Amino acid sequence: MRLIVVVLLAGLLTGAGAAPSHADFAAGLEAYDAGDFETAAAEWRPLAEAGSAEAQVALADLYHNGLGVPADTAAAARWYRRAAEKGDAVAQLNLGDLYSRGRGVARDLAEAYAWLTLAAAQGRAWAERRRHDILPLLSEAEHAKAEALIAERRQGE
Amino acid sequence: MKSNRQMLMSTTVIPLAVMAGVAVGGMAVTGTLVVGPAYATCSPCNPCAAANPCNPCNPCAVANPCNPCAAANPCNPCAAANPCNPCNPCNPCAAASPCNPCNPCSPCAAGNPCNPCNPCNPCAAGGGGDSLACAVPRLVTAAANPCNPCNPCNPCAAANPCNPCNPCNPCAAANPCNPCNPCNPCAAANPCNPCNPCNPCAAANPCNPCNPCNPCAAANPCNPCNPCAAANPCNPCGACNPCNPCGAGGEIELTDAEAKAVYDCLVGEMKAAYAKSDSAIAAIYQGWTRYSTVAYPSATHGGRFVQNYADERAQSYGTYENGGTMPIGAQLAKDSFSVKANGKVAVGPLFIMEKMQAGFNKTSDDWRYTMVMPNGAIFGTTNGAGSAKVEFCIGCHQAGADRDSMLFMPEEYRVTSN
Repeated sequence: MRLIVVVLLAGLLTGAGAAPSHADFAAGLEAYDAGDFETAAAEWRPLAEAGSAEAQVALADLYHNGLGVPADTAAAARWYRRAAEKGDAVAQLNLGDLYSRGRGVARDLAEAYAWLTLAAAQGRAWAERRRHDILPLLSEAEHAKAEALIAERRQGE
Repeated sequence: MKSNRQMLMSTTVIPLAVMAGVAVGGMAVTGTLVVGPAYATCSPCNPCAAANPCNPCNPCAVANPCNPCAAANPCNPCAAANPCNPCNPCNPCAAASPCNPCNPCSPCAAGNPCNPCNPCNPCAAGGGGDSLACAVPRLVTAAANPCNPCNPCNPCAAANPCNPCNPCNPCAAANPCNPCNPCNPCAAANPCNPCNPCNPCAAANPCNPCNPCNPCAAANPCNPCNPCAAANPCNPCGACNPCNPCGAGGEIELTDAEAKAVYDCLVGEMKAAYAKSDSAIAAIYQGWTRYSTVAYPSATHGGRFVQNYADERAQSYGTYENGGTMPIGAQLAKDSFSVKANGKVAVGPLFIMEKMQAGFNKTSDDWRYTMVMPNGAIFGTTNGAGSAKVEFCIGCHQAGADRDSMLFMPEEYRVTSN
C-alpha cells in the first residue's frame, strides 16, 4: 500500500508542470515544415509553457515571423528570454541580437553584450562575432553593466 | 495628488456639482435615464461634447460601446455580452489585450478574421520579423488599400463596408452606418441596424462573429456546421479554399520576376539568419551550383519558395532523375522564404541533405537531414541529437526511394546543362 502511494506521488510530482501528453515537439516540427504553422504553434505552446527550452525557441521563431500566431517581436523576445534564462544558447544569441537592434525590446547594448557573451561562452561562433561587433559601441557604463549582468546570470545558472 | 477625473468623481465634488445643478436648472428626466442639468444647455452639435465621450450631452456617448463611461451601464448589450469587446472592462480575455499571446481565452484572435491580431488577416500590421527591406510590391500595394475592390487579400473590407472589425477601413468611415463612427446617428439609434455590432438583433444571425451565443461562429470557426465557415474567405480553416488569402502562404502565386526580385533581395538576410546556427554548410552553400532557375513554390516544404543548391560532389544532381545514387560526401541545400498575403516576406528554414557512408541509415538511403531554422536553431539531425524529430524528413523523401530518396523540382524550374 505504502509503495502504491509513493508511486502515485512520484507520478504526480513528475507530471507537475509537464506538458499535456498530446503535445509533441516532433509533430510540431513536421507541421512547421509542412507550412501548417497553427498546428506547430498548438504543439509547441504547451511544451513551451511547461518549460521546454527548445519549444520556447521554436515558438519565439513563430512569433518573430508571424507564422500561425500574430507577428509580435516582443512576444518572441519574451519566449527567448525564458529559454535564455535556462541557458539555451540559441535563445541567448537571439535575445542578444534583439537587444542590439531594439526589436521587441528597448535597445540595450549592455543586455545585448551580456546575452551574446553567455551564448559565446557555450561555443557559439556567431554570438562571438556579434559580441565583438558590439563591444566598441559600448560606453564604459554599459560595459560595466554588461559585466555585472553576465556575472549575475552565471551565478544563477 | 488627485487627477481631474478623480476630483470630479470624489464624494466631495459630486454633491457640490449636483447642488449647483439643481440651483441652475433643475433636473431633466427622460424615461429611466436621469441626466444632469448640463443636458438642458448642451447641443448635440457642440464640438466639445462630441469630443468627450463621457459627456452626458454627447448623443453618442450612451450608445458608443467603446465609451469608457458606457462600461458602467449594465444595459450595454455589447460590453456585457461580447467577450471580444475590447471595451468590456469585465472581459478577462479581451480587456488586457486581445493580441496578448498569453491570453488563452481570446476567442477573437483565432476566430475573427478581422481581428488585428489574426495572423491571417492581411490588414493586420505585423510587428514581427518580416524582412524590412524585401517584399512583393504588388501584394503590398493591394494590401495597403482595404477599399481596393481589386485587392485579392482583403475580401472582407472590400466586400463589407459595414465591417465593424476594420477600424482602419476608410470605406467604412464614409458609411453613415459604420458602427465605428461614435457620432453615427444611425448605428447608435437603431439597435436593429444591421451595421451595428451591438445590435441585439444580430443574435439571430448565426454568422455574426460578435455573437457569443452562436455555437458555430463564436466557438469554432472551423466547425463544419458553421454555415459561415465555407463562405468566409478569411476563415482560418479554409486553407483549402482557393480564394482564401489566409491559407498556406505557399498558395500565394508570384511571377518568376517577383520571385527572383524577392530572392535577390532576401539572399543576404538568409545567409545572415542561417549563420546563427554555426552550420558550416549554411556558411558556404550559396557558393555551390544552383540548380533552380528561380525560387519556386515547394509543395513538400509547406509551399515556401525555395532554391536548390548542390556542392561539387553532387554535380550529377543536374541530371535529376538520371543522376543515380549520390556519392558519399555529396551535399544538397535548399533555402527558403515565405510570402504573406500582405506582400511581406520572411526567411524560412534551410534544408540540408548530406550523403553519409554506407550503413549510416538504411531507411534514409544514408542521407543525413538537417533543418536550420531562421533563428539558427537546429532541433534535430539524422542519427545525431534530436534524430527522432527529423524522422519525418526520411518518411517524406521515401517517396523518391527509386531516386536515392531525392525529390526533384518541377521541370520548368530546372537548370539544364545544354
